[in-house]
Amino acid sequence: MKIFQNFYNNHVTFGERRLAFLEKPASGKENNEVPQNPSEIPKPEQYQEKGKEVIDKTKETTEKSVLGKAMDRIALNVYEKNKQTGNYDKLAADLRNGIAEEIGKERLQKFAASAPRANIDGKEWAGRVFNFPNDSDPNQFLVAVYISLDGEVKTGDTIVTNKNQENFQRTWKTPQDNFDKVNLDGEMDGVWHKAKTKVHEVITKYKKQEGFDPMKFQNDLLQTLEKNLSSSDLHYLENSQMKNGDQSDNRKLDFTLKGRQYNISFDNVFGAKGVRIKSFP
Amino acid sequence: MTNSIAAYLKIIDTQRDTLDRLQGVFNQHCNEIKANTVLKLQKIAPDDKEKQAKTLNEQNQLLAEAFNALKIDVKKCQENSRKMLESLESEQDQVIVDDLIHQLI
Repeated sequence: MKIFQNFYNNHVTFGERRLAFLEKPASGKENNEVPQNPSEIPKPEQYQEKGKEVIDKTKETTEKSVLGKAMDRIALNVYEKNKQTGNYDKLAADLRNGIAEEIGKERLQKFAASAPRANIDGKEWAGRVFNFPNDSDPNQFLVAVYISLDGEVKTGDTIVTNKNQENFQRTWKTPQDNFDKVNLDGEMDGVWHKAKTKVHEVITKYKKQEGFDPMKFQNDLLQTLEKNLSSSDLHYLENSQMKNGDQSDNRKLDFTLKGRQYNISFDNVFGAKGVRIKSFP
Repeated sequence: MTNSIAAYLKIIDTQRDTLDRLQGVFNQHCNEIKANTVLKLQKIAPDDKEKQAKTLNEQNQLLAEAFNALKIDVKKCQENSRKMLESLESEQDQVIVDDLIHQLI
């Protein structure tokens, strides 16, 4: 409740500050300098336009981020309901229906409008990939959900991939025996250091626990990284990866924990920048 | 609609309302600055270009200050949305943990 109160209190300060502006004489230099050409001085309408841009951008960023989280939550719920059955088709259908019904057409339209889109069969679609690794199953299930500008939802590629298949091994680096061995101090790159530190924190937390739930760990790790890395951080990491090329690939994190191997990358899936975690038994 | 999804959508709505109100107050303030400037300019002799430019510079300074204040408040609003989202996420995590514990008992 306090959070909400603070939230509402914040914009009151703007009104107070506004009054302060009106009472305060124009501060700063007395302006004895040669005056600017009046035609070059920005007009109030130009400031209003700039204000609108700032506000629209903020709305768009938040809506995209919050809707992304909401979709992830729907995916998690759907996964929890279906994981025992192993029926991937039903899982994909439930995911599609859940997103369509719970998010609603209007919000999905906004989401698609603010996301990178691809033209598929003459219609523009934004995409989001959901990854469902099942610990008791050697397969990993990936489902791509597409959202059109008019709010339609459909599932595209549904890929069931064996975790031990060659294509996963291709990007696989020799896993470290222990993540503690990774040198965090020598890093000059602040964003990369932050990402590694956050991973390290989550690992340390789970190492201390007696029981180990790989699914929960993976979700925790994903959420921690998404929470702590801004869009610009992810963009930076992704670009660094591309700059360094697949061979050096020093913007990926590989480690083992409780008998499982993990591979974290920051990449571009259907144009949506994000964190990807793959795990292997 | 599940409660958790409604809570996510509520974050968007709350932020949108606040930002719309901020924008309204900002626009009104810009209009007031403009109106005051027009009044000042009417009192200045038409050939006194220096004084006219000074008045317009003052207007620009007030507008720039207002714009900076707007950016600070927008940032605060964004920060609050982030906190609400984090709070919601940790609540959801707790629900999952509670469910697991319930299943184990």
